[in-house]
Amino acid sequence: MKLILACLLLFSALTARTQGQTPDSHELSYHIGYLSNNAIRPGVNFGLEYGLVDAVKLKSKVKEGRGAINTIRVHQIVAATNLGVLWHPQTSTSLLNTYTIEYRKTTKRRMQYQLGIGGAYMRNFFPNAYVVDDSGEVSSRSFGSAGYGGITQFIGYGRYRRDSRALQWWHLRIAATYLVGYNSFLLPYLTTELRLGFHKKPVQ
Amino acid sequence: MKKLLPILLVAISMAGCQDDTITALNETIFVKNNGADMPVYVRGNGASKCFVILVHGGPGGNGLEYSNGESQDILEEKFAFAYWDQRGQGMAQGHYTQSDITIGQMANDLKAVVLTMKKHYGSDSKIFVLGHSWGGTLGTAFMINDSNRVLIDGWIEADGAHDIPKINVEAIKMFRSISAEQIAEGNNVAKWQEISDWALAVDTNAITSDEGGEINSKAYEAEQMLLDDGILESGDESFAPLTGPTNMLTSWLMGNYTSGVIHDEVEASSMTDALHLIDVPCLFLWGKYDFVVPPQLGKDGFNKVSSADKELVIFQYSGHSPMVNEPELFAAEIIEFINRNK
Repeated sequence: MKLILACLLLFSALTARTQGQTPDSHELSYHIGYLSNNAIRPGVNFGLEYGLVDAVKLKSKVKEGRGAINTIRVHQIVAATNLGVLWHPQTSTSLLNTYTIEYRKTTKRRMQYQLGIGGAYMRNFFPNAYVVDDSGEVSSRSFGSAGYGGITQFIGYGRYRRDSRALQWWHLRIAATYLVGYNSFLLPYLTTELRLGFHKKPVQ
Repeated sequence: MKKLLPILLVAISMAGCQDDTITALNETIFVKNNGADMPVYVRGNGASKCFVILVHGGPGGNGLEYSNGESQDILEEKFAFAYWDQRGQGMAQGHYTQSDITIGQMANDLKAVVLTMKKHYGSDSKIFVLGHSWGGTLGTAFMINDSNRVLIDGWIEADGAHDIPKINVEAIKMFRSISAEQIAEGNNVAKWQEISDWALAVDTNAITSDEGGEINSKAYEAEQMLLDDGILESGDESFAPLTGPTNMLTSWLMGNYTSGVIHDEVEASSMTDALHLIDVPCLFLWGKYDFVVPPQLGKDGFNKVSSADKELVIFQYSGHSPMVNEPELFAAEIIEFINRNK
């Protein structure tokens, strides 16, 4: 009976720690951050993500005089959408929208590594846009723009912050978005991002 | 008086802004033509109402490559320059097929740029076209068309490649003669001897596409040797800042793709026989030591165009880019030409 009680106490202690130490799946969180294309075109991004699946591995070692030391590793599949705006005063302003599926690993030191792929759509808006027709007639274009679909892939690195904090993680990410039909070719469009992730409500 | 002061300050600042926008243009216009969205970066003295459309080299370059340097600093004080990114190059983009990447289509794009400049800056604007290297190929293709030529006030060809097969033959002749001169003067003897031996072995009646590529790379090698020996003026080679609108990776990738698609057409492009159609004022600017596009092409241009006002200037201390080697002289010739014909 004492053994069962001890096990229950250990389990409840582990569960309590786990809630604060790992990202929670099945919870919508949002992120904002800095987005840039090769540092030339700066921008901002905003997005939402939702943990679809997770696998938590717990390890507990009991050391004499130090009590139980718990380590946790988490593997997650995260669905996300992101909208970024990239800007330059002398060329186009771009909206970049992505929908991604991501594998995210959280290590025992709460470092997070991520790898993902998804679909993307970019729309570029031009200043002072004109169109010339076959007869040579020139007319101005309101909100002249061009759009490209494509596939995006990324790798990232960051850290999860445990316990009840609104800012739950930060990530640095490098992404390559392959825009189809750009000048009749495939353009790898490189972006770097700093993402700051927030829970909808801080964990209590 | 206290109430009037802010109004006065606003009025003064507005007057100042207006003056800036007229005299110091710095704006981007996007021209859409047959699926391509092409940026035109307009900089310089807009009050002059004289616009020089710069047709960049390559294929695979970009317009703003030419915007930095001493010659442009001088020229932009006098006139406005329109640095155009051609279809599939620089930051140009859009949706079209690879069959739309032809010299004819790009010449049509240049016409679209000219018409848009007139629409944006007024039909009384004076338009000059300056083509360098591949820009000379494209510019000539534009100029030999009657309906295009009437739109512009003058054509400036700087080391322009209006006849690629002829370039290869003339370059081999130059390699042979200049290497003999340099060996006689004791400059870089071993390297010039190597170039001489190679040039003597090329059959100028049957230059292959591979040999054409080799001629181009040897041309830059020879120019560098002349630069090292102080025969060419070093000039100021300045680069566009990384914060500029041109993303160098995008520009490089797109330029290479486009250049690959158009390569065969460019290699066969020969317009010497059509130069007589050009009857607008012409200025031909060439570097004496241009192995990439030898000065003989400038002489052909000068001799064959039908223009009443035409001039050929050979820069004695320049290679393929006199705007880099002798920027002040280069700018002075253009200023004189435009002032004469505006």
